[in-house]
Amino acid sequence: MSTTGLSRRNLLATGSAATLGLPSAGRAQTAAKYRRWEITDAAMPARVLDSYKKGIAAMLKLPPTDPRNWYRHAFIHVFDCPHGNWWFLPWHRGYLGWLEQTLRQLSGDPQFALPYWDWTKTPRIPAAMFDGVLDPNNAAYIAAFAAFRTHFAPAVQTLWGQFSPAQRAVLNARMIGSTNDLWQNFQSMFFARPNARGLTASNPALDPTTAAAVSIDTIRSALSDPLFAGNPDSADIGFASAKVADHNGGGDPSSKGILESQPHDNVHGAIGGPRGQAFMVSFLSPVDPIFFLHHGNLDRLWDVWTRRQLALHRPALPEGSDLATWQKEQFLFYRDAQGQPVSKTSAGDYASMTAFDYDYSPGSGEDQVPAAGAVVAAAQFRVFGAQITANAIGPRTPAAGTAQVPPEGLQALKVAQVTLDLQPGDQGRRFQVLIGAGDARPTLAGGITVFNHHVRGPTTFSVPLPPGLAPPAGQALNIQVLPLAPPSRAGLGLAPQAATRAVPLRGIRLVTG
Amino acid sequence: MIAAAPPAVLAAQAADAFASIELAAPRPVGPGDALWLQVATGRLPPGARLSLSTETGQIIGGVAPFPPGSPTRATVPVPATALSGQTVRLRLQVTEPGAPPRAPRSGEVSRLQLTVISTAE
Repeated sequence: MSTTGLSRRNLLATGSAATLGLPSAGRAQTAAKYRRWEITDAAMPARVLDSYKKGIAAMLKLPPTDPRNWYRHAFIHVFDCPHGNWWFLPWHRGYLGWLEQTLRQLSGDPQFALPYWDWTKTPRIPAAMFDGVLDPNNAAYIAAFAAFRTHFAPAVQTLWGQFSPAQRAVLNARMIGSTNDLWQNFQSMFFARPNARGLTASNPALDPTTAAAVSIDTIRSALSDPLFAGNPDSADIGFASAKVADHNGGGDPSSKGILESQPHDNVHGAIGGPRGQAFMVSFLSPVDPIFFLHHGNLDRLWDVWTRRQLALHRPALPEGSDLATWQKEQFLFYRDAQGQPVSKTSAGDYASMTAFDYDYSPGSGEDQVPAAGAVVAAAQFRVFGAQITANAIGPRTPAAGTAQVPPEGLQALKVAQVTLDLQPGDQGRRFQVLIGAGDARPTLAGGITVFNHHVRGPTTFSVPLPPGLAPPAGQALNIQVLPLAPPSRAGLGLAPQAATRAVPLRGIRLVTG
Repeated sequence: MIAAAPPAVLAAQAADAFASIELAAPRPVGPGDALWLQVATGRLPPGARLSLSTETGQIIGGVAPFPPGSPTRATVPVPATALSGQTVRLRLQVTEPGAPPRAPRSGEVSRLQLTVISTAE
C-alpha cells in the first residue's frame, strides 16, 4: 500500500526524541488524565474554579500544625524555591503538582486540575480571580502579621525541630539559621489586608512594562532559545535560566533567561501594584492564589518549548554530564495530599508532565511548535504500510511486519513509524527496531523509549532508517520490534519496575523523505 | 555608573527621567539571529523595577528582581526594529513606589551587554 500525506496525530519523534527518552514532538498529544484549563477559556468547566475555591477554603481552615494548611504550603516556597537557575522550572512543576493533588483531595473533586492564566492573551488579572478566596484580601485570609505570628508560632517552633539535617542545610544556604531568622523573613514577606494583592478588580491591568514582558513577541523570543541552560556568563543564559552548582544559588549569580526574567519576574512585580507591596512580590507569593495560575502558564510554556525543541531535533534537557547533575538535585520540602513527605525528591522526577498526568488547553506560543511536520505539509512524502505478522511485543518475543517497497521508494526511505498501544504502566519501557530482508541479518534502525507526556492509547514513534536498504528484487522488508530491559536510571519519571505486559503493535509505516 | 559593552554612550543626569545608552552588536545580525540584551542590576530599592524602551519610547521589557531588590541578571529581547546599523539606542528608567520615574542611580545597573543568538531552525 502506498499513500501520500500523514495525519497530524502522527508524532514525529525521530532520532534523539525516540532514543534519548524525551517527550513526543509535534503538536499532537494523547489525552492526559487531567486538563489544566486557561481561566478565560469559555470551554473551561465551571467546576474548576468552584473546586479551586473549595480546596483553598479547606486548606485555609486546616490547623497550623497541618502541612496542608494554605500558609504552611506557602512556607515551602520560602524554604526551597530556586530562582535564576536551571532548577526554576522543575521545582515549580513539582510544587504545583503536589498542591494540585491536595486540592483534588480537599475539594472532593476527583477531576480537579489547576487552571492557568495566559497573560499574553489576557494581560490583566482575570475577573474571576477577585471572587471569594481566590482573592487574598478575602476575609478567610489572616488580616495582619501580628495575628499570623500568634497563630503560627507554636507550629513553626515544632516544624523547626522536625527538619532533617539536609533540610537544615538548605535553610542555612538561604540564611535561615533559626526560627528568629524565619520570622524576620516572614515579617518582610507578609502583607496585610486590604493590600494582600496590589492590583484590584477595578484596576486589574498589568503595567506597560509587564505588558511588554508578556507580549507574544517576548514569548516567541523566549521560545526561540535553542539552549536549556547556559553558563551564568555565557551569551545565551538559556531558556530555563543558567547552570549553577545548587538550586539555592550557592554563591553563583542569579542569571535568568527571557522566560524567567521577563514574564515571570515582571508579573510577580506587577501584582505588587503601584505601591509594590503585596504577597506576589515576595517569597510568600503562594499565599495569593494567582501564583499558581501564573506558574501554570510558565510550566505550559516549558512544555511548548520542549515540544518545539524536539520537533527541531534539538535537545530538550541538559546534555552530557550536565543531565545527571541537573536530575539529581534534591527538593526536600514537598508534601503530598496526605501531608506526608513525597518520594519524588529529585529534579529529574519533574522533567516531564507525566509525573502528574496533566496537559494544558492550548495557549499563546503554541504556534512556535513546528507542525508535526514538515512531514504533514509535504505531499511528496510517500508512505508504505506494513502488513503486521506478529501483533504484540512480549517480554521476550518481538512484534513484526513486512512491507513491499518499490526500488525508487527504497532509495528515499527515511523513517519507520511504529504505532504501539500503550498503557501508563508501559512508561519507561524500551524497544529496538530492526529492519532487513530475506534471510540476511537485520540492521538495527533505532530505539524507542516510552517517555511521552501521557502514556495512554496508540502512540506513534518514528525511528530513522539506515541508508542503503536493498532487498533482492521482489522481496519485502521485514521490520521487527524487540523488547529491551527497562532502564535502571531514575530521575526521568521512568517506571522502575520491569513491565511484562504484551504491548500491542497497531501499525508500521515506512516513510520517504 | 553604568558599565556597558563598548562602544557605549550613556547620557543621564541625576534629575533626568531616564538614561540613554547606545550599544553595539558584537557581530552583524543576520536572518535567523536574535538580538538579546543582558542586564545586570545591583540593589534596587524595595518594589523598584527597571524599564527598558527604545529611543522612540517602545517598551521592550523590564527587570523586576525576584525577590525584590536582589541583584540579578536578566535577559531582554531587543526587537530588530530597534537596530540602526549595528547599534541600538535604549532608554533605561527606574520606577519605584511613591516616587516619579527616574534614571538609574550609580550601582543600580552594573552591566549591559548586547548578544546575538542564532535561533535559526
